[in-house]
Amino acid sequence: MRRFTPSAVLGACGGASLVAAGLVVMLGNGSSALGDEVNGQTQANVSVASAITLTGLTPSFTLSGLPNTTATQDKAVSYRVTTNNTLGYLVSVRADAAALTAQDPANPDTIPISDLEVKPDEGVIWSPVGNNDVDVVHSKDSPSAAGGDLLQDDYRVHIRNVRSGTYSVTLTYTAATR
Amino acid sequence: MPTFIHASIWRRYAHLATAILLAAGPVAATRGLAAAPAYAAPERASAHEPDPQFSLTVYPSRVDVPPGAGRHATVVHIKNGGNAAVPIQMSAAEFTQAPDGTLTFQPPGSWSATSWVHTRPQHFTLPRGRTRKVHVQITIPDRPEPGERYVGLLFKTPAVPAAGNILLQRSIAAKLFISVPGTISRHIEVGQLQAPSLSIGGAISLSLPIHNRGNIHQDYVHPHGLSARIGEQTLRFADFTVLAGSTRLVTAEWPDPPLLCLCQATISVPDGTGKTITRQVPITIVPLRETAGLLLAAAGLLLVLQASRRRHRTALARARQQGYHDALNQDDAPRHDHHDSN
Repeated sequence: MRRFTPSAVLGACGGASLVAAGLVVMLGNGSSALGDEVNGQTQANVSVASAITLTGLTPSFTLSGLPNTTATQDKAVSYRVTTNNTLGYLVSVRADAAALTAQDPANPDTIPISDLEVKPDEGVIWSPVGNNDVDVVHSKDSPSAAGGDLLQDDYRVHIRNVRSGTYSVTLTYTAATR
Repeated sequence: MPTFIHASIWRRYAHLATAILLAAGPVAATRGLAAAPAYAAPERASAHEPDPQFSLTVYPSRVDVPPGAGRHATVVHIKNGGNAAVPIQMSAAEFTQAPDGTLTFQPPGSWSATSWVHTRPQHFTLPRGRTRKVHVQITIPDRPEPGERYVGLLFKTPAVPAAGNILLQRSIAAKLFISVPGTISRHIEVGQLQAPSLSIGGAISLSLPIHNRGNIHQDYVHPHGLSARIGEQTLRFADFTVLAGSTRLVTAEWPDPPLLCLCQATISVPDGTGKTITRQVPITIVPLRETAGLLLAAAGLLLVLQASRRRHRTALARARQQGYHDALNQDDAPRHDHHDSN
């Protein structure tokens, strides 16, 4: 049978106490760490802004025809609107001038802007394009599809008995959330 | 005779032509299919599919400028997601709201709040894939009318010379709701809840006019949006905002009402001051189409039964008559057997 000296017993007890204290301290720290994990929830905040995207609006199109006829082009303007806004979005168009003017400065003839008409491709009612009032061509009261909503507009112009030539105007398309 | 010769010749030519067409058909079809993807399809796609070369994103799309000091600064971002650099020209325009929720950007006037808004930079070129901050400085003048002013920041890309005679300028708007220091008035008036008092079936549309007589906007956005109760059902209205001084006519659809119902739709609208305004409308649903269909089917069945009974009676009468005649004939028939036996 092996005998321990008092100093060895004391040393062992001291060592054990130290180990225990260390364990308590460690477990104490550990438990607090565990407590942080269990009770103190880490919150991840992702900030998502309300955004609107206009993609690929046709830069120009041509309407051509004879005098005293109506020239029409279906799907003359195509674009996509993407938004996460729950109130939806709208797209409006306005002419920058009161008339289509001839590119030839010597040609004084004009075509009034109200003779230019627009409608959504899926719509049936034509609206004259204005240069004071805007035409809302598309309006939606909910967010777009994830990949955006494909929108297309038809245009037509009533050509008066004007001189031959190219008559032009600039239209401004504006996309906004509602 | 010549007619017969002609016909036979034509018939022979027709057979020959059919044979040639049948032989040539597969070749023509194969050629057509081979040519279509190479030429026709890409043209059609480019004609109607938006060109992704241009793509601009603006965020946030709405900035609520709180009431406070006379000066306020905010930032709006613009991102070029297209394949080419884009020149951007900044401008501002006040906007108004129509009952259907559409916004109209007004040209600047002498009392326009657009003069309160200054952006930096005013114009710049945004390289592809890049995002740029536009700093917006709002300076409210002394002693303005309290309430809210609505200004749109317009990010415009000028039209470029192109082949077409109608050129298009692209523009995206971010909205500024500018609160002006002073007394805030919240005053919402609610019109009558409108619905068809009698429905003969199908979806039912509910609409509600809401007038904002106050000087600050009112949002009705989930989870504080509007919804109508009809019995156990809840109809949600789409989220919407009513600008100060504007009227909105908001609608919701009841897509699958019951066939028969004497019901009442009820809606409670928070007026922005903690109170709610309640409106009700009775709706009677009568399955007129279904009832008419049933009556029609019943009438048809009755007619068929009557016709069948009439036919049966006629057949019976004819059979009886036939039987009577047969009996008569049998009675009148000469009794040969008797004579023969004699």
